[in-house]
Amino acid sequence: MEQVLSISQPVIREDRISELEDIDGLVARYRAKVLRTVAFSMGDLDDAASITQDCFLQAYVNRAQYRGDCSVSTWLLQIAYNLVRDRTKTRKSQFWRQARLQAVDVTAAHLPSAASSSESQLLARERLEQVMTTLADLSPSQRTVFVLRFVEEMELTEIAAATGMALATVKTHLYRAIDHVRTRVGDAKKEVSE
Amino acid sequence: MIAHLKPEQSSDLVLGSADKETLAHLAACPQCQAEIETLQQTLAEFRTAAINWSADAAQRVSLPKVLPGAQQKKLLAFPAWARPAWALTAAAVVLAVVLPFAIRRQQRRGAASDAQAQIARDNQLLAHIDSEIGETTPTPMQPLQMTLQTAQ
Repeated sequence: MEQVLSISQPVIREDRISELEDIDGLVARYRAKVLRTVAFSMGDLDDAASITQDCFLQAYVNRAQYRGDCSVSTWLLQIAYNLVRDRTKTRKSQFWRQARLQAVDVTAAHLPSAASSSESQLLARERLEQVMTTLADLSPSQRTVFVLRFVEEMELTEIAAATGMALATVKTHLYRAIDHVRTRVGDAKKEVSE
Repeated sequence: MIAHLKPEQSSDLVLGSADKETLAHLAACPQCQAEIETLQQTLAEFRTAAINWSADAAQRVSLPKVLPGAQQKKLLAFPAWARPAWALTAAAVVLAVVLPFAIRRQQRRGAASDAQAQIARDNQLLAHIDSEIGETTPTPMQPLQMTLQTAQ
């Protein structure tokens, strides 16, 4: 959870600001986080890599504008989301229907708990596929919100701050996504048991 | 028939914002418990898989290295030799924008003086026509008029 700062905590603020000076450390710490958020939003790994690089470049060039009010992570995700939004404005909706998150396949070799039985691996894979199918039906903004909540475990207010969306919009996106996942996973479970 | 959790209540449970009524139903309903458990398990698996995937992907894709501070500034700033060239380019752009407007304005002025001369010529012609119409006998008929007068 984001640490809320008050005026009496200038040390944390200073630490956060100085974190931006070490660009190599910044990239090493947050590269995977920014990349996965952007990749799930864009549905294309090449675009995600390009935006991730632009994100770090912008963060470094504009580091004087960072006041340390939010975490470096939130600030980076804010920059990344703005870049995603700018990039998606230039794309037609047809592109999104075709993209279908093919480049981001978390089901292939990244299943958790590798020690579990082959049957549970199969079921886990089935559930992940349902999540990916659900994500493919969502808009880039909805996917971003979903990933920020369920992968980055950010609070709803933090997501609203990072994306510039109203809190009600964040909730609506999440409710829709959760309902789709619940329905799909439930249907798949029924099919397996029948 | 038992009323199970509504979709919004399931979402509230997953987001940790469920009310007392929702929590009470969950505690008493094995079917809803199983559904929420599967949903939470799925989301947790997705989180682990996404983090594992991104750790691999971040290594696989080549993110061009961001330059350190001094080099970055140097890259973004105009080199000394380019500054006069930049000023000349800016001047050329200003000329390219301003010059067509100046030429068009000059042309408009010329066109205005031409129009005044045309109006003067038209007025002269109209005055001549008026004087012609004002005479009782038109100019081409004047010799006939004179012949008739002589005959009388």
